[in-house]
Amino acid sequence: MEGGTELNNTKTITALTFTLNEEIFALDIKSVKEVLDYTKITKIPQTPDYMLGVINLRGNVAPVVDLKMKFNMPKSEITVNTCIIIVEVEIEGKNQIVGILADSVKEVFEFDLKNIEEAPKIGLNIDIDFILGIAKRDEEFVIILDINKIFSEKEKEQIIGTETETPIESISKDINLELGE
Amino acid sequence: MTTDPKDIFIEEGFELLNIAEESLLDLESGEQTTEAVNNLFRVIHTFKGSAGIVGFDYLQSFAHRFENFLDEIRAERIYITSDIISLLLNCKDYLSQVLNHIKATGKDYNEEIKQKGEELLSYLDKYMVCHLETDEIHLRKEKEPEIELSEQVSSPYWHISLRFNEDFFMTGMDPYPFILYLTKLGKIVSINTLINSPSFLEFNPEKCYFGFEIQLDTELDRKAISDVFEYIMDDCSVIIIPPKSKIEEYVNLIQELPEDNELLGQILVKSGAITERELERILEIQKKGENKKIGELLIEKEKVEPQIIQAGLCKQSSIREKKALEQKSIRVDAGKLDKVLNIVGELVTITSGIMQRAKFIGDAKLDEFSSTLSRLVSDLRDHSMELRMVPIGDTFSKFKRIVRDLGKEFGKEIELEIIGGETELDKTFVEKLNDPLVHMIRNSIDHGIEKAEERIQAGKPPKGKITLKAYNESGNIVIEVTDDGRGLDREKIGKKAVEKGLITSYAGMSDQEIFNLLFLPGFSTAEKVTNISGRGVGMDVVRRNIEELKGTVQIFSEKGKFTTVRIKLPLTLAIIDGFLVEVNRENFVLPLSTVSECIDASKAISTDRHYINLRGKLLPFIDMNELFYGKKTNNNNANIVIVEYGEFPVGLVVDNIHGEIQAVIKSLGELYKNVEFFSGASILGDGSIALIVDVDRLIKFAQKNCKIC
Repeated sequence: MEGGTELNNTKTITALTFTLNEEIFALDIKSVKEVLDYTKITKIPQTPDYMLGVINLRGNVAPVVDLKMKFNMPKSEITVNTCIIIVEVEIEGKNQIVGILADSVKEVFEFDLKNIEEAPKIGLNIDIDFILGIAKRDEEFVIILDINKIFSEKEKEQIIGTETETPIESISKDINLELGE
Repeated sequence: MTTDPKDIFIEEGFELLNIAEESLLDLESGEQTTEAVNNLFRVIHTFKGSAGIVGFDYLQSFAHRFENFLDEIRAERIYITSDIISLLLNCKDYLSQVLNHIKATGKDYNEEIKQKGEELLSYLDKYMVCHLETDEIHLRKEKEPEIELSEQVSSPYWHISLRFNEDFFMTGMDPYPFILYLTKLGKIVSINTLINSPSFLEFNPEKCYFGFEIQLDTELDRKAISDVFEYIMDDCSVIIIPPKSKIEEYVNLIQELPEDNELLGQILVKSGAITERELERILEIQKKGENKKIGELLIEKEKVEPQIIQAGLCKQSSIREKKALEQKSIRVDAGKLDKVLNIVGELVTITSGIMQRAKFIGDAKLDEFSSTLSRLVSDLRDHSMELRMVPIGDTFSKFKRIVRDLGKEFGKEIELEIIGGETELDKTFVEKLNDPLVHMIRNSIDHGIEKAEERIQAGKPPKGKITLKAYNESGNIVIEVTDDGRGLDREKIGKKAVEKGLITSYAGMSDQEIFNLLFLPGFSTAEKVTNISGRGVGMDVVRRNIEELKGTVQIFSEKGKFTTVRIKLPLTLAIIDGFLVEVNRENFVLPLSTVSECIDASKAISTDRHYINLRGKLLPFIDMNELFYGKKTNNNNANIVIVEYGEFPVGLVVDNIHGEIQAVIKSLGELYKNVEFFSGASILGDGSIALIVDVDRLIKFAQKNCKIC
C-alpha cells in the first residue's frame, strides 16, 4: 500500500485533518476511504478498551479503534461532530479496512513538505514512530500520522494483547465471501 | 480436476518442495529454528508417503534417507551449518528435478538421475556416519530399467533392408549405383545379398529377384539415408532401422518437442524418427482399410522401434491433456474472486434498498425493473458463491488408489467406502483437508486394520473396511474416517504417554482424554518405524491443519471394533442456523447445532456456585454477563441456554433469548483475528451486529479462567 510514507518523493502531501480533543491530526488522503457519521459500535467482549468494536459497513464488518486511548489522551463525549474515518491499512501484508473515531473532521489540505518538520523527541504523549511529521498551519500545529505504523506488527500485537502460539492462518478471505442478506 | 494420482502427486510435490525451500531459507536466516526443522521434516515425510503411494519407489527411497537425515537434525545429533543447508537445498532441488523428470516421462529415475542421487546421498551419509542407526525399512527392490532394446536394433549401425519389386529392371534402374552411393554417406559395414528366385522354369531374367541387408556406419540422419532411395521409392521397399544410440536420441527429442501438435505421425516426423515419406506411405496403408493404429502400422511395416512410438504416444497424450485442461478451467487468483464476491455482496444490499424504495414510490414500471434487477442479482450471488464450492467426492475418490496400494503393501485387503461425496465445501478447505486425510487413512491402514487371519479370529470379515463419510450437520461439515480395525488400546496409549513424559499417570483419565493424547506432537505408538506412519508426526499435523480451518477433531473408538476420527468444520460460506440471545443489551448468536434446550435461570442467578441441579444431574453453567462484562446477571427474565460441549452439557446464562435466526458469518478482520471465542459476526435485519459465539472455545476459555467448576 502506498500510504503516506513517501515524504521524500513528492513536494506536497495531501491530508485529511481531524481533531482528537482539540488537537489537530492529519492522515494521508491516499489511505482514507471515506468518512462516516458516528454509528453504533458493537463492542467485542474481552478485548482492549481502545478497540471500540465493530460497525456495519454496508453489509461488512469493520473494526473501529479509538486513537485517543491509544495516544493516552482523555476520553471525550460523542457529539454530532463525531465521525468515523474509514482507512485502508496494511496488516500482515493484507489490506484491511479500519475505522478511526475522530471528534470532528475538518478539511482536506495540501501540506508543503517544506513546512513539515520531524516530530520532537520529547513533549508528545504519542509514540513518535506513529508520526510522519508536524506541520504548521494558521498558527496551529498539525500532527501528520503514519497510519500503517500505528497498525504495524509490533503495535498490532499490543492491540490484540494475546500472544499467538501458532499463527492461525486467517480464513477471513473465505468468510468475506458471504454476501449481504 | 485431474484425477490421476500421479498428476496430483506431482502438483502437490512441487508445493511441498516449495514449503521445504522456505523452511530451509528460514533456517539459514536463523529464524524459528526448531519450527523450521519440524516443518521441513513434516513436509519431506508427507512427500515420501505420497511418492510411495503413487509407486515411485526410487523417489520414495531417496526421500526416506533425506528424512532420516532430517530426523538426526531434529534430534540435534547433527548441527546445522551453512554447508548442511546448501546440501539440503541441493537435495530439495534434486527432488524437483526428479519430479520434472516424472512429469516428462512418467518414470522416477534414469541412469543420470540415479547417479546424482547416489552422489547426494553419499554426502548426506558423510554427516550421518557417526550416527548411523538401524533404521531398517523394507524397500521394494528397484525394478530393472524398463527400456530393453530388442535384439534387432542392438547394433551400433544403421540397418537398411532393401527389397526390390520384381519389375525393377523394367524401369531402367539398377540397384548398384544406389548402394554405391551409400558409401558416400558412410562406411558399409556388411552387406548381405538375399536371392529369392523362383524355380528355373519360372525364372525371368528380366525380373529382379534380390534384396540387400546392409549395415551402414554413418553420422547422418534417417532423412539423408532415405533420400538416397528417393527415386526408387515406388519400385522397392526400404526399411531403415536406426542404431541403438539413435533410439534414445529420438525418445529424448520427442520429449523435448514443443507441445503444439497432437498427431502422432507429426510428432514422429518432427523428431526425425520417421521421414515424411514413410508417414505418407503408412497413412496410405491405413486409408486402404488396414484397421490399425498408425503406431501399430509403423512398428509392423516400417520397423520403427516400439519405444519411440511409446514416447510419441506419451507426448501425444500429455499434449492432449494439456489442451483439455486449458479448455475446461481457468485458474483464477483467489483474491480476485473474493473481490468480485465482495462487490456482489454490496450489490445485494443496495438492491434490497432499491426494492424498498421502489415499493415506497409505487411506480409500476420502476417496480418491474427493480424486481427484475433483484432476481438477476440474487442469481449472480448464487452463482458467484458456487464458484468456490467443490464437491468433496473428487478428493475422496483419490484415496481409493491409496487404500488399494497401501493395503497391498501391508498385505491387508481393504475396501474403501465413500458416503456423501456430493457434499460441497469451499475449495480452500478441500486443499487443506488433503494432508490430514492422507495421514488418517495411512494410520487406519497401518495401525487400525488387522491382517486377515487376525480378523477371522476376531470373527470379522477378512476384508477390512475404511469408510469416508461427509455430511452437513446444521452449520457444520462433518468428515469422518472410520476403520473397522482393532480400535484404540487405552492401556497402550496411556503407557506410551507416560513413557514419553507427556503425562505422569493415566489412571482416572477418560477414554476421550486418552485418545486426545494421540494429537500431541511426537506421540507415536508404533513400535517400529515404517515408511508409512509411525514417526509421530501424523496426528499433530492433522489437528493443526484442522484447527487452522477453525474446525475440531475428535477420536472415537471401541477396542476390537472400530476407530473413527471425526473432523468438524464450520461451513464458512453458508448461512448458519443460529440461536439469537441477548447479553447486556448486545446480541450474540449461538450455533443452533450446539443448543439443546432453554430453562429458567432464576435458580442459577441466586447462587454463588457455577452449577445447578438439573433434573437430578449436575449442570455447570457460565454467566455470560460475568464472562463478557465482569458483572453478574441480574435480570428476572434471564434464561439458561444449554449447549453441548463434547459429551456433557453446559449452561450459558443470558439476559434474553430471541430464538432462531439465519446468520451470515462475517469475518471480524485481521485486527480481531485472535479473539478467543467469536468465530465472526453477523448483521441482523435492523443493521445491527451480533457476534457469533464459538461455543467450544468459549467453554475452554471459561474453564481456563475458572469461571465454571
